[in-house]
Amino acid sequence: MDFCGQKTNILGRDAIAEALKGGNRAAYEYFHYGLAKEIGNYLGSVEATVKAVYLFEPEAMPGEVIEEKPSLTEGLDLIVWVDGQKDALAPLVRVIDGELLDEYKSLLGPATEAMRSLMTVNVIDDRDVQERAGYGALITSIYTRPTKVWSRFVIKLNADYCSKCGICSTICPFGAISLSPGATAAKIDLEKCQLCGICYSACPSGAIESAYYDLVSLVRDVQSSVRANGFKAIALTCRGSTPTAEEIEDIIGVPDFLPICLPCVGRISSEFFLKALDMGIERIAVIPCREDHCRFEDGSRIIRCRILLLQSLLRALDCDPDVLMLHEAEGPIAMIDGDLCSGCGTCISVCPYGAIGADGKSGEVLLVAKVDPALCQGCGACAVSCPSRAIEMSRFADQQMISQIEAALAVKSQNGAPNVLGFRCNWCSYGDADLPFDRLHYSQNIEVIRVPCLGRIDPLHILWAFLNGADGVFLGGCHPEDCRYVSGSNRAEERISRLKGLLEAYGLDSRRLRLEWLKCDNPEDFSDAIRSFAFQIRKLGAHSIH
Amino acid sequence: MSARLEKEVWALDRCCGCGNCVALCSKGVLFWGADEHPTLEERDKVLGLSHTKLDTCFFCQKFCEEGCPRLEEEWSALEPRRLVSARTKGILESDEPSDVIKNLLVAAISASFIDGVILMDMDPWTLKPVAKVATTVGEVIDSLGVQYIWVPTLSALNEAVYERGLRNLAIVGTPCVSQGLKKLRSSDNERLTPYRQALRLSIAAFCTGVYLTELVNGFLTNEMDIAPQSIKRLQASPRENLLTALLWDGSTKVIPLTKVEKYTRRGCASCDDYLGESADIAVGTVGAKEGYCTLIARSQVGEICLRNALDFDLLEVSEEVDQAALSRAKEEKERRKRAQAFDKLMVMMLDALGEPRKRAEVKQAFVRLYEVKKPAELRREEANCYAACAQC
Repeated sequence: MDFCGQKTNILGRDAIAEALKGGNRAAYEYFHYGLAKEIGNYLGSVEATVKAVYLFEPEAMPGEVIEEKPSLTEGLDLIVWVDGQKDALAPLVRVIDGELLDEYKSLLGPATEAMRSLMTVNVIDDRDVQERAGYGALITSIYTRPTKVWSRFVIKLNADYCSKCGICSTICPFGAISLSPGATAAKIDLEKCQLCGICYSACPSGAIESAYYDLVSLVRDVQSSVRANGFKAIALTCRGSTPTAEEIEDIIGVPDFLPICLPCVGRISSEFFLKALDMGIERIAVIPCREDHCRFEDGSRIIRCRILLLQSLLRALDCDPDVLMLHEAEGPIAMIDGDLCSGCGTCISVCPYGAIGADGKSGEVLLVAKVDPALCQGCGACAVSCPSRAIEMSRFADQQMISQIEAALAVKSQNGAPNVLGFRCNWCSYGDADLPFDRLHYSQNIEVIRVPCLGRIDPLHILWAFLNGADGVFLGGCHPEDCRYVSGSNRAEERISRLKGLLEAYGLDSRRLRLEWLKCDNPEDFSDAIRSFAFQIRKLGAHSIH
Repeated sequence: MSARLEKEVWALDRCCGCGNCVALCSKGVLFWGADEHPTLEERDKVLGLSHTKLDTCFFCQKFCEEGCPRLEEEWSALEPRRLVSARTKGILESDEPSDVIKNLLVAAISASFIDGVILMDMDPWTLKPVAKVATTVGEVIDSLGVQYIWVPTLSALNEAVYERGLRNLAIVGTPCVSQGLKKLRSSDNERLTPYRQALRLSIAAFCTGVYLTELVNGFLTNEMDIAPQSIKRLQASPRENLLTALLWDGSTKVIPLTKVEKYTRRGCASCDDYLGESADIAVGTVGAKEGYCTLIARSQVGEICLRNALDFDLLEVSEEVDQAALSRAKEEKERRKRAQAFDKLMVMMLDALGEPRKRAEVKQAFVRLYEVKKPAELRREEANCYAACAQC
């Protein structure tokens, strides 16, 4: 069995051994990455029942050399998910582990002689996954790329606390929760679950647990920002509406506020509002998407009902109900410049919502297109497909995108590391995405720009990034099946594969451009993916243009 | 090498589908596959167990590029020499552009000006449009005539020139077909001489863009219950947002124009020629007097052909033409120059990736193109401001 062939090739086998001995964390990280892939491929070839292989590794950043030597065995878990007979596979996996350990010892020398096993091995089957519903969702991800999600879960129903009231099963917009008559607890169907968190906010007995935007961490964040910055106001906004800071300021009426951007404000429980008010917050603005635009069906409606209830509660308690304010915000929409529209009709067929029609001011022989703002959901697909670029997106205008790209690439890295520009869809990797919760620390030369959907990314923007000094461009978006804008991911895929062909034809390595599908349920997926991309770009080096 | 076509035309969805490259290819390696642009055939050489992929375009003199109208930077329009409203006369009295074109051709064949013509017809078996070589009056009259359904007209060029040996050939098509012919005529490649000598007359219909066959054979048949063979003509009226299908039995059926936009050929989005400015004769409905259609003769050949048809008493003309409507229509389609500029920008940017020296130029072009794109109100305000300044 080849020992992590793919990754060790990066620097050569000996070189990576040196790096490992020297304690380079990046080397460890990618070492592990390749290790899991090798094991996965090998197991997959000998056992048809293997569904996925995960390897969970100690946290490390690429390019970072730390003082103390990391221990390879620390926190290293191998999880092999099989379909059925897990007992048959366990000895095989253990044998592989033993072989790997020998190989590893020969590579790194006697320093690790005392080790008995390279990693903790777990062989699980479908039943185990069902029992631990939360991470089951992560494993059903079609990507078997190893990530450290084992310890995490996104949504989990704790059967011990479930009182079988059935609220969750009625409120779930996707019908993903079922409560069968004889069951001891409600059950979440993770195939259907879209991770909106509405059930989490509605469960009266606290049986549903959520990995992020949970009450505890939200309250903690509010608390710390109240303490540190003295904020007296909070703005809760939806991903879909994403108003700018100025717009929020207009709505909320005070200049200093804590912005919290959520996938859907429907996931905020009444308890949070009361706790926040209790902490001395004087104003809470809730800014959901328009009800008919809610990406989670009922999210906006649910939060509206909740706010109305809370307001009457406050009134009954002789408090000012206006501390809670609800303001439905318009999301970004497309606008067509009638003076530039040349009537080719491309946008009309591109729009997934049928929001583009003919303007009454059409000309002699060609029609002028016009967006119906009531139907437009702001994905930006039309703006990119317009051959004359006559369509402008509010909040994500071409000019804005261009200046963002230029600003992101204006600071060149000093240490010779490559400049990597990332585009990230608004709707995936939630945990990474929202500012106050931004626990991501990209290294200094990775810059990320947020877009409503990958379908908004114009090949011209990507070329502009390359011309402005990007060594690699990374696009992370939702899988086509999960796309919140019907066909955005599909269009992006088509455009990017075409652009790659063109880049090759004009002599630029198409590996410098990568499109990767991310699941919305793993917060660290995006940073993992972009870091591994940056690593590859580092290997390719700066491209000749600079 | 079809590399330039692939990089600058096909990959950017600019192919107009005239079929010129397919006809001119010296090796016959281009063909119409599933795409909206020609496909390059891949050939393998098998020697024993070894398979070698051959460069199918190796050693070619770039005939395909010689004929591609989309590789031309700027088209200088032929000035109209005669601009009239015309209608057919004789057995059939009609103001349909296709009938007017047929009568022009009938007169030209009868006078032996031309010995054949490439035009669009419908395959009686598949009910799909095909390019057909007609050599007799009967064949011309029986043909479908001008329809805004895409067919690679010039693909039949070899059949006409080499197989049938026609020496005085007329070609009826869309403005892009005429552009391809104009480019072919002005090429100085000796190998293309047989084509150049055979081409006498190009006739274009005014065009806003053509539809794919799927419109007729899929949408209209399935959703509107219109049989392909019953359609006489499709007519778009953007002001009412309607596509009208005129049927042979005299009735009409209407569809919202926005519903059929997805069947427009993508390559048409960057074409700015409405009036067939490269054709010897251009015919269309816009600008004509009631009961007539507009006819523009742009060259001596065109004029001769028109006079010939008048001599045969197959056409009647009137000098009354609404020039303003014509120029409005022309301007509308010329807005697509901006789309062309973006296509050009894309090519420039890709070029600049390999050549740092070009970057400054690209930057200028990029900024210039995006600068125009301000909110319409803002631009109007600015314009008003300038107007106010000019007054004082």
